[in-house]
Amino acid sequence: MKTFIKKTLAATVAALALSGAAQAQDALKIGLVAPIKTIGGEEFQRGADLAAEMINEAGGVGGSPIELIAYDDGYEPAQAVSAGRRLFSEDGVKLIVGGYNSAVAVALLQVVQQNQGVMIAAPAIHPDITKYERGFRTNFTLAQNVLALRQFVDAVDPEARIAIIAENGDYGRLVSGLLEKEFGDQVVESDLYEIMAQTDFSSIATRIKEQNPTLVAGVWGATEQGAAMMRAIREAGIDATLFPMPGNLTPQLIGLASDTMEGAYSADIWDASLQNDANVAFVEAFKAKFGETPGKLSFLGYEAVDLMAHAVTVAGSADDTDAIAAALRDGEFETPRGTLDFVDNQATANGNRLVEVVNVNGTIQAR
Amino acid sequence: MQWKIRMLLAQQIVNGLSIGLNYALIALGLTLVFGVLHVINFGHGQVVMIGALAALYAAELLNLPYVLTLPVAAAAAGLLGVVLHLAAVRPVVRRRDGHQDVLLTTFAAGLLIHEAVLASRGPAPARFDGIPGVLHVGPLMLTNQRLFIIIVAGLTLLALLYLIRMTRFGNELRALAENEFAARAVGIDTGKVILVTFAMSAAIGGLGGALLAPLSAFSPNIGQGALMTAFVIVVAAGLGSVWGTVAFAALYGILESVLSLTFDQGMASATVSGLMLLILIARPNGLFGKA
Repeated sequence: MKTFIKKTLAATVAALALSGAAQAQDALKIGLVAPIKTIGGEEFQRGADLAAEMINEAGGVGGSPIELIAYDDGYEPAQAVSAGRRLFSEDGVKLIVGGYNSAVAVALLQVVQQNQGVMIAAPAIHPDITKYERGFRTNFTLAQNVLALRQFVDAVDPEARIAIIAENGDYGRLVSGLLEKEFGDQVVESDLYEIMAQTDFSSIATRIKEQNPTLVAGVWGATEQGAAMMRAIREAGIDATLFPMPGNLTPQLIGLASDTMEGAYSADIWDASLQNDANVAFVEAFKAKFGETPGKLSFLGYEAVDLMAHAVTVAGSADDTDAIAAALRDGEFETPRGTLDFVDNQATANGNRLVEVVNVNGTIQAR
Repeated sequence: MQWKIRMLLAQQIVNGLSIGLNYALIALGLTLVFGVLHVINFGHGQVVMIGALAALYAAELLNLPYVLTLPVAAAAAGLLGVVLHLAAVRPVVRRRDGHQDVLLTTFAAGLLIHEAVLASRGPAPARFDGIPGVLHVGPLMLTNQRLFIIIVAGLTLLALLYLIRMTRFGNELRALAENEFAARAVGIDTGKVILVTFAMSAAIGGLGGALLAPLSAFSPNIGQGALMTAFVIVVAAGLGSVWGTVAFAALYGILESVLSLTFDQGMASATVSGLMLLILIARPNGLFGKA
């Protein structure tokens, strides 16, 4: 009896191992490297997971299911490099999505180049990313970012007195510097705050109030700090129009800052209310799975995996990374933002769409 | 114009006082433990976070009004303080180099708590409403939450003063802080005093977390920043000095707030840190520490 049980167990283990090996061989492996223990990284991963799930339900890529292998980069370039090496050497991955933060994306791209892989660095905005022939970028460009506020000011408040509040990092400094250059004397106050370390924004709000602005533009990476800042602005009695810069006006921000955000504006390359088929399918599936409207980072994660899957289909092989990169570079794709193609590895977008928060339930509508 | 500058200054002092007293509650936990055991509890930041999380859950799941979530926060954090002491401090502190080992064991325990919270509820921050409304006094304004922080911090400090100066436990605690061997020799149950001090420190830290969260939002990372600020305050004030910690925390908050009128926030923080460096050079035991 004991021998029978042993043999049965051994056979089961062997069968499981074989089926696992077969599945691993069949799967199209895509690496995901992002700060997945932060809210932004988690949002990005949710979108990527959903795309993989939807593609797999529809039969996979050429019959192969997508297997996402995720690693945390903790916002640290060194951690991202280590994750990249592991993906290539241990996990047998050649395609990566990620690039939540520019410094991390550039570091990871070195590993991608050395290993002849392909990477879509979706959220990162640094222009150097597209200097790598195997690095692709899908978020807005810095010029689009500044243009978003320019279009709003010209249309709504040409004489605006602008206060800028930005996180004290590469991204915040870069964007606030460009805004100061673009708007010159119209910028009446420009402040930086400490990323993650700062919880109290009353002092900055007091400074801003003194300048009597009509518009407050915010640039942040951490949603909780953005929400605290927006609340502090209102608590200080400042009734200026709030304009979170592209990518910052998310359902999570509205959930945290609540009625403070009513009437706030922003603009971006994508928003959840777009009515094309691809976006409707994405938004509905996201709501069904997670019970909430997707934010920009979820869209970027979703789009990156979807683009990679399409490129593999066009290339006709998951191993020929030259062909996959060429497919991205030369192709035209229907994604939730509309029609997209790459010019010099940078995704072109449809231009900015102005959006307004119409109520505290988190409804963001295109204007 | 002079009047306007004076009002602006007064506004920043009020802003700074409220956040400074909140820092004080968090920093007190570190300094009380150092006073009796001469160790730094690097898990204290996560105790602060658990206090805020317990208050958030009490509000969301039990529908308790914000004020009643504060005792829940203190109780949960106090309990965690006891666990931290039993699991990460008591087993190692009596060893040779045990005081250095405690830095690592409490840090590791804090990391475990942080990862456990991340794994169970994810990294997403949560909105946590405190006391609503804004108080206007002439041109000055203060949100009711900030006013509440000042009141609760003040009452907590008075209670602590009473406990340390007027009760038997306070006498035992002071005797232990002075000389553990002598305290044991006169029959004080030092183990019990240390355990209660850990629980009390954690409870005050948890209360600090529950007061801090409504100023921004609850985030699993709320304790990390708080620990760094609290650590800087207790070192510059003088490790183990309770009243020095409170005074310096208030000064820290006010100074940072007032300096931000002229500098950006990063430069204001850097200037305060520079001042602390000068303090430590001039007075190695801190501003209020014993020479």
